[in-house]
Amino acid sequence: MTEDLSPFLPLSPAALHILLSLAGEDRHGYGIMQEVARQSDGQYKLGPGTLYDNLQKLMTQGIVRESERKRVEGDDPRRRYYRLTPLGRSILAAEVERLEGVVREARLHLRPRRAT
Amino acid sequence: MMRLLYQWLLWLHPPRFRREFAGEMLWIFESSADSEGTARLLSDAVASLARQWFLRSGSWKIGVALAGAALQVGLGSVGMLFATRPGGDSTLAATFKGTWSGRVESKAGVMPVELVFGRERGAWLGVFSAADRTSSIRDFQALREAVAFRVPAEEGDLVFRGHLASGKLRGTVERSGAGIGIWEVTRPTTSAAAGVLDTKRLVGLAAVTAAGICVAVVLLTLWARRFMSGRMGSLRVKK
Repeated sequence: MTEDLSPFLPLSPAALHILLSLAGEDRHGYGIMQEVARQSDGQYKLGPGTLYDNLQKLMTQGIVRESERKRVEGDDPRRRYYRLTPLGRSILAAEVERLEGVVREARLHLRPRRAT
Repeated sequence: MMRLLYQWLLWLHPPRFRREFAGEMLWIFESSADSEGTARLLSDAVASLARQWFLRSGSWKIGVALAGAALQVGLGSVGMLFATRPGGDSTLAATFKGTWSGRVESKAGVMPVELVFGRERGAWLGVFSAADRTSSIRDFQALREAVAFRVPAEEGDLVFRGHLASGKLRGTVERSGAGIGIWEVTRPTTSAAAGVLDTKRLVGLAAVTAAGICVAVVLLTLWARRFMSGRMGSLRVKK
């Protein structure tokens, strides 16, 4: 069974960061925002509008779904948790692989040239 | 206060998005307003509002259709004004073309007359008919509501000068530079000649309006079909 993931790639920076933040564990929206800020050392900050716009698309495409994680006592009822689907995990892996290729290529070309 | 403003911005989002995410977004605002800054969160909500309505909901197509319709109405109104404006050559033709009947009053008495104006290959033609004579009209000149023409006669050409007012052509008659009377004619087939529409222009306007409506309908149909089918792209996973 092979999946053609090319229609989903490349991911937008926001989608990539959201998927990365969900790769480790299920998170709620605010948790995703905080994790994205942490991953990028505060250089990339998602606003709620951007976050939910991307989450809506990712959920419609079956890349992310709402998690049935049990609510902890004291949790705000408005909080919902999101989880990466197997398809989402495959897409994230494919994107990381693509980015590795980009980095490899960049390193090759940015290597200091020998004087001729 | 800021919370209320944020809540209001969320309420303005498309219903589908609002139902699904507004609660969480408000919760994030409450949880992170201090750390993230209310100004940043508010600007994010404004950007989200624009994005959801114009990029995601397909409402921009309705906007385009409405703008197109407004443009059509605007152009149509301008066109109608232009088409009915006296002074354009074809409008002028519509104003004077046809049969006019009335009278010439002079010292000799009142004489019933009939004037027929026409236009052929860009030149004015006309016939003057009275009880005792029929003659062609020469040197017809018309500018807006003013009109002048000459009727050849053995005893000396008659020069008619006049203007159109309230559907009537009236003015003075001269012979050899001397006034001999007044004239007044009406055209029973039309009431206010100055407001007569140019048929060709009207048909053109109707065609443009119809085309605009068709474009609007196509756009709305495309939007409706996409909206009804769930709007979002389907999965393209080959197995």
